[in-house]
Amino acid sequence: MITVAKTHKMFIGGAFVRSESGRTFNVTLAAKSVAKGTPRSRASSAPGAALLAPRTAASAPSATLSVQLGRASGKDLRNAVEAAEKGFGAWQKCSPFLRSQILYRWAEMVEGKREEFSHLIESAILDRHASSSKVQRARDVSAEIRNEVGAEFERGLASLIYFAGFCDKFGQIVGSLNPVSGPFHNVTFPESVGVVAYVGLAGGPPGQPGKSNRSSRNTQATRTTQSTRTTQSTQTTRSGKIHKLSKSGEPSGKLGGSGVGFGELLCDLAAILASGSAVVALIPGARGIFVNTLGEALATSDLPDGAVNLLTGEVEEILPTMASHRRVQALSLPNRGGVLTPGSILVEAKKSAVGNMKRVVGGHRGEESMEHLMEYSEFKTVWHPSAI
Amino acid sequence: MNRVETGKSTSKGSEGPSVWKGEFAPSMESSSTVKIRPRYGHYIAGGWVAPKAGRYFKTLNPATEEVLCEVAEGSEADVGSAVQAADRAYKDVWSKMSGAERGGYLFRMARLLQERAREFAVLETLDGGKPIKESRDFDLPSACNHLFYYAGWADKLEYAFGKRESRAWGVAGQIIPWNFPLLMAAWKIAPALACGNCVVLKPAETTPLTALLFAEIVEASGLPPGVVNIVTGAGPTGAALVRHPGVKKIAFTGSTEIGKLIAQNSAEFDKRLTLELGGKSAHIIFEDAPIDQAVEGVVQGIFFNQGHVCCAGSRLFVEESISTLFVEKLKRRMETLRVGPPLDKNTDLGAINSKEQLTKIQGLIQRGKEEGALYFETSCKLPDRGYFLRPALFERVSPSATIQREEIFGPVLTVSTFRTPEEAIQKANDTQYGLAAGVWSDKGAKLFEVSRRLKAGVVWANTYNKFDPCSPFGGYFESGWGREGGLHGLYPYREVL
Repeated sequence: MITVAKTHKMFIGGAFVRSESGRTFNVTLAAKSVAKGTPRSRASSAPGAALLAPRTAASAPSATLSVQLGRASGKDLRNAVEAAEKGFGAWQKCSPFLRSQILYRWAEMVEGKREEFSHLIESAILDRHASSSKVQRARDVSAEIRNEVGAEFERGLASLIYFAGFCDKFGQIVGSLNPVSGPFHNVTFPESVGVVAYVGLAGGPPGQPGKSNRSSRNTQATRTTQSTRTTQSTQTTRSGKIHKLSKSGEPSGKLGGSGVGFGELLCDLAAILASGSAVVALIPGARGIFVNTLGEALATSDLPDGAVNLLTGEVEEILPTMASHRRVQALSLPNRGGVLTPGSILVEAKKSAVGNMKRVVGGHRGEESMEHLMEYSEFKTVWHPSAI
Repeated sequence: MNRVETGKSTSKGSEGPSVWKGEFAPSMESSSTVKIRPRYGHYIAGGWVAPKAGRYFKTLNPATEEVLCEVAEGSEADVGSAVQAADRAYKDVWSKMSGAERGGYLFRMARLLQERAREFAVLETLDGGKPIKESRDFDLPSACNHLFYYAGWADKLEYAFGKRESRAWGVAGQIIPWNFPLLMAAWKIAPALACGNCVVLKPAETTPLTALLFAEIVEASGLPPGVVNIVTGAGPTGAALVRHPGVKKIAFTGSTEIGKLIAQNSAEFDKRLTLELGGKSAHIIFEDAPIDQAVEGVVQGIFFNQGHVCCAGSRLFVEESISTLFVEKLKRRMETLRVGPPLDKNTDLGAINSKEQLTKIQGLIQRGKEEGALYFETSCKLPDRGYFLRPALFERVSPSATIQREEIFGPVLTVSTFRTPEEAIQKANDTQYGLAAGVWSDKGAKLFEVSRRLKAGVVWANTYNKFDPCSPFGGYFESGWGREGGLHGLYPYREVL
């Protein structure tokens, strides 16, 4: 039978669209056999591992699938921001409890696409291993990769459920009734920041794209060691990576690179949605393969159109427009710690974000924590006299 | 204290004899309690230090245009030694001290400041031009309360940060404005110290004197040398402080323009910024509002401190059905405001802070007239010398008029009307700022909904310009980043691990 391949599209305003520019770039996926029977978790993978036949993906790299991803233009980004403003309004109208239910439904829809996502995650992981020139011994690597795929998927799913349950709770934790001196009722509570532009670059050091940490404590540990270890040369390498992407003028056609991983991506999007904000996310380079399927899950989650918008393309091309767009209230950049290279694309983005005083956030990306969600919140304080 | 009292139906100035035309006999507060030295250096590492470049600048009394004294102009080298002193104090002493001990010093400072409150109030009025009744009844009590409030947090931070571990940043660089000089110093120093940071404070160049006098409070409290350092100067001094690699945390209150510069200059560094910037806050009056109280609220909202208030309610929106009556009552109430010598206890509006600010406000008024808005100012007499302006308002202001979009930072109100709550909210939110907003109505449900939908960090419902140490303050959008005051004011001063 002839396989029916899927056309990958971006997800803007609840619709599946290709770039208005008509431009695409090519990405290579792993052969499909591997994803089947991906274990639910590390624990259950051990006994199940023996049942799985030696897989073809790692041993026979020729059995791959090529897809064309849309290369978003500045116009696509502006359309997405417009959609996100509408989506934000609709998302705001949902009660926090309803947002909880919708996020949980999103998790249900992601679960339903476990096989498809596992295939995409595996493609990303295989490519990363290839690019880090790790020796691949077919059988061992297969087991290892299978575990990794399962863990990455579970991590993403768990983050959705974690933040689904947070929508109607964080306000009670961080809000306050302030005992002012005087006859006044005075309360402080969080409000959503608005439209968030999210750049799907991984925060970790090169070679570990998408690596992030479940517990907040771990995150800090990593960050601290990172910054203490950071030397001038590694800094250069990091920004060099981005420059490479930009100089070529083409998005990286290879998987991995510095794109965000599946688990972290879901975690970050869920945190933004749980705060009540709307998002325009660019998932750059080859990690854009997640976009179409994620869009399908979102489109069937009762999420208002435009609350999440997913673009594929190139950071160099889209980030400057994101950073300078006046209808965007927050810019989420990967947390790379320490001093950034002057003139690098991230520094230029931070500078241009100052135009409308966007909140530049991202320090807690990948974390299942309230601090992560609070990056996308503002505090409002309301006074009223109290008298008879 | 010249502030709004609400909740009761008493009101002044709107019933009976419509306008008070009588003259008040002068009631001058004595300035003999204040001793101003002819020249001040920087306060670094617990001592007075002459500026390395040897340059000084003059600070004026804006009500008389007389020179009060000379103040050191901070160079990069001066900033360097202040940061070094703060860093040493942090590493050697302050970071090793318990929260309870840190709090102990803050409690002491609060008490010492209370004892010398009158002296500080007079100096604040001399150097900045604000009416003595405001410096005496608002600035000083608020500053003392702020120190006292945060003193109690110093040994309870583990409750503020929940299960997350946190630590002080180290040296905080703090740059403060000229509209509430000592109060802003307290807003900055109190949470920074409670959270375990050491500070280098730069007061505004037109109002450095109360911060310098505060050095005496610091000294008297026995605070270890270097925990609080004060460096005076203008923009370049502040820029040197922002640039200094030893300063991990920057807190700035001032204009959006300068805030943006600071944010841009910090883009490549891993510095944490708290920015309290400008505003163009909306004040909405619904037809069901208690009208006379609302008039008082509007007057306090825009004319408090000559309108030199970042959260001033500078854009008034009145429901069309009551707008004629409301504006008439408002003008009548404005006529009773007395502009005069700031040290006079009867004065409602004192001097505009500086010649530069006066020129800026006059320019914007001129622009408003040119763009076709209808100008009104009161008929009161102005002092012969010094920088003064009459309270003023503009009617028939278009939404795109310069005076409707730009922060004037002076005693100038714009008045527009609306027909539906939707229109009011839309017009109120039509600004790049988001610091504060006011809304007046007798209907609770309406207040809740409008408060929720106004995009501003502080919303005053049936009141305006209320402040408290435990109430977080700060804005959305171009009004800045972060909150000051209350539990939420602790967050910017610690790194969450």
